[in-house]
Amino acid sequence: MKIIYYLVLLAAGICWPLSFYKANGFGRISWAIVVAVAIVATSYYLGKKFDGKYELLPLAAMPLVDIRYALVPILAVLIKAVLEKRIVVLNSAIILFCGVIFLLNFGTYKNLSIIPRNALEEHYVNTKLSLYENKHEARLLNNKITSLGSKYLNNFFALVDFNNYFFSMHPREIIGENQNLMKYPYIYVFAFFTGIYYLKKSKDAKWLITILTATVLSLSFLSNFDKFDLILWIPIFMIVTNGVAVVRKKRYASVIMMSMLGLSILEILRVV
Amino acid sequence: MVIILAVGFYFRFNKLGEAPAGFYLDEAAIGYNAYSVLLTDKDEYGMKLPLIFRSFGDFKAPVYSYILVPLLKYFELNEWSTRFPSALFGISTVIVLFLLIKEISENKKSLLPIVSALFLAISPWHVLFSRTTYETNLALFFLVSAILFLYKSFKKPVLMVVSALFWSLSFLTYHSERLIAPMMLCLVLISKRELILGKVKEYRKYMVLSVIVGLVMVLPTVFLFKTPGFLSRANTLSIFSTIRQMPYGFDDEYSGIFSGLVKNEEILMAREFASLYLSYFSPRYLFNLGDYGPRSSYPEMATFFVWQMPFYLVGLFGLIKEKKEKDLKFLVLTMLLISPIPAAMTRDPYSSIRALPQVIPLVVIMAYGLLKISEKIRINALGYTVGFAVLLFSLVKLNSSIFTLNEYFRAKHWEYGLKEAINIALEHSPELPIIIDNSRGEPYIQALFFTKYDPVSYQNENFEVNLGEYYTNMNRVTRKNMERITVKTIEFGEDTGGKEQYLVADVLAISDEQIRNHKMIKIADVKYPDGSVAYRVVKTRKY
Repeated sequence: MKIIYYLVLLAAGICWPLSFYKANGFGRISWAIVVAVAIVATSYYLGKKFDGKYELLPLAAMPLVDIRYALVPILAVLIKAVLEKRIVVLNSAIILFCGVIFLLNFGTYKNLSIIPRNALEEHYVNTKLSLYENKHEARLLNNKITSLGSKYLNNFFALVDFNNYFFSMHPREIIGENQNLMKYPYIYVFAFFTGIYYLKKSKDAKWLITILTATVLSLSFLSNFDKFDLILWIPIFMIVTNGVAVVRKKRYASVIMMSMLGLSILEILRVV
Repeated sequence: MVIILAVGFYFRFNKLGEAPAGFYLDEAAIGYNAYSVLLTDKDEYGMKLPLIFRSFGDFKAPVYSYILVPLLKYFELNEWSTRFPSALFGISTVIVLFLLIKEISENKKSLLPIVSALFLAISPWHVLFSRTTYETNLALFFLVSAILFLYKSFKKPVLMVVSALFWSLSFLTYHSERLIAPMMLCLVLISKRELILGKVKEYRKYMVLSVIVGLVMVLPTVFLFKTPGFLSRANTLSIFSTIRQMPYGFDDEYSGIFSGLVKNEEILMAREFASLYLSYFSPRYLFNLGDYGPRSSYPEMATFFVWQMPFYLVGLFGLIKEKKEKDLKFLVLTMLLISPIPAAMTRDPYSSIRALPQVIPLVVIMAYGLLKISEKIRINALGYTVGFAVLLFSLVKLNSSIFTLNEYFRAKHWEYGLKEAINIALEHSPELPIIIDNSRGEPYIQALFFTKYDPVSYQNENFEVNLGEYYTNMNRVTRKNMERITVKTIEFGEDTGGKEQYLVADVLAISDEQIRNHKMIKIADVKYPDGSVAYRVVKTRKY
């Protein structure tokens, strides 16, 4: 039973890195992303070892790995501060360090973010503005904030969509530049929901909430977060693990786990 | 409640005949068949009071058309009168939902009924289907009414018969309800089994009567379920049918030792169903994307407003944990889980038209979430002001999306321009023949609708199938005759030379070059609001 349990976890964890490798190989960007994933893993390890004391410290290296990740440590520190209702000196230093790097590279970041408007968007907004009789209404509904907000929300909702992680987005849904990688075998969606439901009881809840929220909020600023969302692999895997651990204690656990394993092998075969 | 109804009324009835601009062929089919039944007791094919309308071979549910028949006695046949029942039943659903939540709530002082009614009244999802001739909106009204009267009948058994009437109407009005209504009915009855079994003697008479009412109404249609017409539609749409398309993810080229398993259709179908089903709960679709279909959504509008997302999450979690409100919890969660099943069985990703019944549990969940949050957080004057501002902004945005953006960006999808083009051709000369091109779509039905063509003449001039094969023969005749109007594919040469006549078609069918080459005279270009040509009317020369 124990072996099956570990195999079930292995099957859950192997899919996303495998499909990422198959789609991207080991180029410069891929290595940067892999290093970012390693930083997240180190953050978790340090959090465990020092009771949450230094868990955000490794994240300070993220802007150096790739500027797209610059906001992750800053947001993580802020979220942790909100959760704990205090901010420690070390974390303030992380904000300062990452903030400076972010500001120095703001030009590059801006070009990679949702801020620039292309000609098509410009034309669409101008067309809309011309349709209103009342110019105040036109400006209220079509301004820079609504335009940026709309792009940000598109990314945000794609990142929090469970179909994104368990069904490669959606059957027959065409996503422009997205690789639509197979991230987790679909059967694990139930383990994921169970894991979310019992998240409060997990020892890692605070770390998971901090990392997940910071990552999702910061990746939503990018014009294309595809590939770079691999840093969510560990936190989501941990939620799935949490769910599988709950299922393990239920009646007919062995039958459920065997089914999960069988179906996930089929999914992995598809990736390979 | 009066203010909520006033807001709901405004969004449903304002410019009902004009927005959406254009009149889609399904709307015209429902309207003209009702007109035909009113004048002749027969549909366009001459079938007397059909159980389902053959229409374009898609066999439309009949209730909308039959409801329209008495209305057309008092109103002229036009876009407004055809859409009127949908708007009326839409606003009525808001009232019925209010009464239903009031009926099943343990806490009679709760604001849940009124907040639920508010959320439904302003829901872009429900507003859209209340402004267009879609059967789904009527079916939803019948479904919610059926549930309301069923719960009321536990106190006053005679209402069971009324409930049975509504269950049956719901079943007959739209395809999704054919699955949802029986499932909901069974589950509500199972949940109330102790109460029902304890009062069998009191209920027996009404239960028998209800069953009779239900069977009399439903059985004739059930017998048609095996007809080729019905099966053809099911095969086209269903993900469980591989006649037209393999399941999503089917890799024909895969040839490993496990290919039997990897290419297993049942596993892939289960995967596709799970994915489609879960998308109906995904915040991405509910609050950001909405339906992809241009006629099933408003521009820049999802099915709900983005600020409602936290209420959805809190409400869902809170309702799962709810201990006191047993009926409310059971009904809302059951309806939430059942409603997307028929939609998830079809190929389209996130079909808001087929999953419309889900709007009910979702608005209740969001209302519940809002009230839960307001219990936890003390809201001060600033909070109320911000809340009111957000609501007002959303209403302005909805208004702009319905009456400004949709008119401009989606006119094409509502087949704008055909009415104007036909009228131009008719008015230009009272004698010359007119050919309307039908390479794309079924414009004959719009021609019948806009000209209010005499149904008797139409039935006499056209033949598609023997009436004995009305429900079974899938043969289609594409050429339609209406005195001097003929609807067919334009044949260059045959139709463009030799005699004078008018041609009505889109730019794909008649380009500028073709006008020059065939020496035709351009009479008019009917343009979409964005300035591109929708339809053109040309005159051929006699030579």
